[in-house]
Amino acid sequence: MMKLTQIKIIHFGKLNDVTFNLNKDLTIFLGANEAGKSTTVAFIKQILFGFHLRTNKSPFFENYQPLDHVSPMGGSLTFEDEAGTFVLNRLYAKGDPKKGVLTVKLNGQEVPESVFFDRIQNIDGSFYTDSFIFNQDMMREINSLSQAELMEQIYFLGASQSHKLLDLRDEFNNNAQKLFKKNGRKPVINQLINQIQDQKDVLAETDNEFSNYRELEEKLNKEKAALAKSQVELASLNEQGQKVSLLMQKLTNFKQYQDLKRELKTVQFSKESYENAQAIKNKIADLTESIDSLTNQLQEVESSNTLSNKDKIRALVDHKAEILHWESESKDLARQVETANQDLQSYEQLQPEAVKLSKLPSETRTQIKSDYQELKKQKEDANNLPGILSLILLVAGIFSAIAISNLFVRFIGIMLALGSMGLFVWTRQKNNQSSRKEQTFIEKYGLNPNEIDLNNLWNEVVQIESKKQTLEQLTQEQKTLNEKVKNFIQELNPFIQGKVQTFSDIINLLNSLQKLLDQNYLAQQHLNDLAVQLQERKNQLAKNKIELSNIFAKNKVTNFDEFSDLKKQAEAQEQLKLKVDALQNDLQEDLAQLEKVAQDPSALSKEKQEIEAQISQKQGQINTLHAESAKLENQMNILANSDKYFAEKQKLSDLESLLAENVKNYLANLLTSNWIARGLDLASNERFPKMLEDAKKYFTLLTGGRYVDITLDKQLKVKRIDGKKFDVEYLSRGTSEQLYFALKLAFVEQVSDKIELPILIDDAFVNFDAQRTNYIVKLLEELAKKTQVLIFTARKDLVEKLTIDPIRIEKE
Amino acid sequence: MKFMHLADAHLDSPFQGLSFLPSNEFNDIKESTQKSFTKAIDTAIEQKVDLVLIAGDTFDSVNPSPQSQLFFNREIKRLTDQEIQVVMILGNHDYLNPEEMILPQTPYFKLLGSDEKVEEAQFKTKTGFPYTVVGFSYQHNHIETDKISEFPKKGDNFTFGLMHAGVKTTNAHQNVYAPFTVAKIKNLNYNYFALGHIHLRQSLSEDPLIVYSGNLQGRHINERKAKGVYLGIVDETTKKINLDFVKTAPIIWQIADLELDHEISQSDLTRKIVDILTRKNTQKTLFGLTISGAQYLSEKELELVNDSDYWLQLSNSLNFDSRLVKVYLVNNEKLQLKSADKEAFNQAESETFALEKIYSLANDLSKKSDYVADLLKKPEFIEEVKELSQVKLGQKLKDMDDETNSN
Repeated sequence: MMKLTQIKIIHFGKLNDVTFNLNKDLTIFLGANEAGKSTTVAFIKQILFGFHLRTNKSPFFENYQPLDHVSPMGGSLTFEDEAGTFVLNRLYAKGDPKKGVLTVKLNGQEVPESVFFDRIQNIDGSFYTDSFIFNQDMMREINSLSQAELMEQIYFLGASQSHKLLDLRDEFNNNAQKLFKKNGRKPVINQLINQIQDQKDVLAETDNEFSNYRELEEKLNKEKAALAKSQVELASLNEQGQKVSLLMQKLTNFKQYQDLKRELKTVQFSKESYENAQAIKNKIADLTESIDSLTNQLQEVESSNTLSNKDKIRALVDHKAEILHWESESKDLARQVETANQDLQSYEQLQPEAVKLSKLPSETRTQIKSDYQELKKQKEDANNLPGILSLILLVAGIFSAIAISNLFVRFIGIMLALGSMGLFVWTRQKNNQSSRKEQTFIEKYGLNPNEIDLNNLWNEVVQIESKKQTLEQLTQEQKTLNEKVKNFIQELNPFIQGKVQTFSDIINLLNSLQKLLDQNYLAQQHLNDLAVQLQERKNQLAKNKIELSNIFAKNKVTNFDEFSDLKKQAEAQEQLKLKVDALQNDLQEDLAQLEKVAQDPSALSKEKQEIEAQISQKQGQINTLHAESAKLENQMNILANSDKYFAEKQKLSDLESLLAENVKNYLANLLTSNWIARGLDLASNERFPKMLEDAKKYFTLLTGGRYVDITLDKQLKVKRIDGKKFDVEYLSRGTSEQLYFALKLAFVEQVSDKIELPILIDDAFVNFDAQRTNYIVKLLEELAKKTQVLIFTARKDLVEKLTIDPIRIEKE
Repeated sequence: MKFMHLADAHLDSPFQGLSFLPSNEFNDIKESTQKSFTKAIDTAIEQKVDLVLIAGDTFDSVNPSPQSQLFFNREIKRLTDQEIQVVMILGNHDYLNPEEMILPQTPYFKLLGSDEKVEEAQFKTKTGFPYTVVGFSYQHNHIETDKISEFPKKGDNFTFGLMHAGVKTTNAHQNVYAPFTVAKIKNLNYNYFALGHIHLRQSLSEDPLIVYSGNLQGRHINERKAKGVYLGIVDETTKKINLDFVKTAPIIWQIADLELDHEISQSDLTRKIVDILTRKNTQKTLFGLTISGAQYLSEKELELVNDSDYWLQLSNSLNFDSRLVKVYLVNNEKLQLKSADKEAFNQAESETFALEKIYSLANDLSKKSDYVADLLKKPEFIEEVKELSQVKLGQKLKDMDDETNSN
């Protein structure tokens, strides 16, 4: 254990040539103020670590100025231990380094400084001052005591490069503090924690996205239900409206119905009767018409049928048979003439002699003719036929005139009888004439004596003669006939239009006359018929008229027009009835209601207005609901497509990642700092924790047990026995000095095995009262057992209490 | 019979540790969860499965976004339209009130045990093979009771267990997700036990099969491995199951290792990193990179490899839009200290990095943030902190040494 055994001051401050021999445990310097106690303390420190010249500011006692007029300044310290004796000699002369020139001798041999300084761990002057020197000023520095400093000083004794490690420790710690402070706001981790909290709030809001969605959905469903309901209501309103509109329409019909119904009345009308009457009326008209026509016809027929010369015509017509006879007679005559001519011609060719004969004079021939007359009589007999016929006709005419009642037939019969009598007379005359002519002719031809042929010839001549006569006769006959015809034509003259020459003309005329007669007859017949018909019709007409008036009477009308009017009325009523029925049928369901409504039609239109108002209101509601639904759907859509929730979550996660990174960094820094600190602790044998333990012990001791604990973090705090904690600034001066003393002492005690330097206590206990002084005395005695202690004091009581002879420092 | 087992889709869940990515690059990643889910559904339809089991945590939270719910509903409808039976339970993340969910209304969708009670449901495949599914849904975020004892005895039917739970551990506060023991599940002797909750795909037992299908899409660097679904084919006579994993996740996470044994120039470092990543890059990947021998990095390089801009720059050389998203530094050299001090520092290290010490040091912080408190419970995080500390101190000591030597 190295001890400071001698202090030898050549010259230092107010001290000159002084030597103090020291105890190895406790030495007390007693001296008044300004006697040089502090100078001695400064001397020890400066010899060890160099002079402290004016330029070097020091917080406390070192403001010495080397007395450069005295040379040399300085002195020596002698340390002893098992290894030997170190003498540290430091002198300063002008031109020396400010620290002065140090020589270190071990057992009289000069050795390198490091031989000594290695033994005290190469501490520097400030370390020594801070740790080993206790004085009034230092005691007041209690507030500046920091763990860091204490630790640094303690660790300094542990690991190599411990100050660098301490720097590292602090650097890491600082870096950690930059990232996070317990009560900070600015460090990034503090910020991130707050941001995360904020983001969680944001997320919590976004969390609602789904519940919002459900809410919206629910709302939407409600809106849709409301919409459906409104639509149903609207439909029913529309229906109601339509009903009312319909009712209004029907009301018009109903009014018409009512009006028409009022017009409705019963009309007595028999269709059958009417039809009957009409039929009768038609019949009457027909009859009247027919009567008129008959009357006309009658008149017409009467007027057309007045033949003035009817009797004459009939007489003419009665000659028709005679004419026909004439015609055939004429034709016969012509044929006979022709035959005679032909015979004569053939005689000329075949009997030329006979022809010559015949050309003989007529006396001759008359001769022959007379012969011949005999012969010729025969021929006349044969020609009695017309007489016979006329007799027959006469009989028939008489018969018819007498026996037949018909006037016309009788008339005809009379005519016929007259005609046939004429014919008979005419025929007798004509036969007589021809026989005469034949005789003359034969007498002329008796001249020629042709024997053989004479007779014959004669015959022939006769023949020829006869023939000639016949021819002549025939010509005569022709002439007569023509005369008769001519006469007849004369008679016909009044009836002739144009020329009448031939028989056929006559016949035609006669026929037409006959026809005229026939017509006249027929007309007469017709006229009779017409008269009968007319009468009949007239009867019918009268009957019908009676019948009709009966019908009219029955139907209470006077004439057909009235009846027609009645019919029209009946038909109109029928139409009306149909219309009314149709309307009634149409309105049937609503009839009761309509009757009611019709009493106050304005109520209906009012109702309609109300319904319309309701409809428009409902429509408005529906529109609003539609709009709201669309809005909700849109909002839902936005939510459904929103990745906001994810984004916010991601943001949170990002912040958390960032926090994790920073926390990692923070913890790495913090842990590294702690790691270094702990490493230093361990390397320094855990001096710091031990020191703290000792300090507590000493503090308790110094305060007489009033304080029980010291905590040393950033700030120093103490705990009183009652458990109260105090910051140092609130301690009394005495207590705070005790605290400082306890800490420093504990520290020095911890380092004393490594740094074997004396503790210098310079008037440190000025403020300690008697009680405290007792405690400190006890403590110092304890301390001195382990470490050399030098006490510089002005207090004699202390010296007395320590029961040691003090070294007295006197004022010069 | 064919069935699909999927779990932990965590729709809406964010990715972790990608905050530095530009937002446009982030979209793909964002959609990957839904894409993976869609792929799973596609697979179920393609494979014509009879049954899809969804073992909880389909949604990441009890407040799923409408977007996710509608997405889920749409996807499930695709299955039920094909008459594929879907049986689903809710997990500790999505313990929703079923009445507040948008769920398909069809007999082909069954939410099992929605009152948190074990429920048994019987079904038949289209070909008439009868089977039973037993399970329950969460209605709280924690279930501390033993649910397995509530599971009924296996009947004649082929039986599936469906549960969202974690194996019972010695750590009591971890046993809050229907804790179970494998032995107890084995005792039930169900033909297949489909589990959810643990994101790492694994089989707890081969006979009978007790299986975690894992989550559908890795969300952070610690969820590596291919993610997807299990496809099971049941031999209806022997009841044997042939189980296949089908990858569905469009993005994977991987860690690449770079070991340094000497100091290296910045350009060489960059080249080496790109080489290593490129070798591993076979599909869209989010890479973590471990650099061991980090003590060989200069302070500048150290700063660089921790800079996300540098990661982005590196990633531009990678195919498939893969990205480097994290760098771990490992100092594999002991501290450069004198032997006496070394001892002290080694001891100090083990003392300082004792969990309790860390917790006490981090106490002020973890009190302020639950997230940090949870973080500190993760051993891998502690390990990262430790690695970082070592790198940091090692770096400093090396500098100190350099300083000393150069003096």
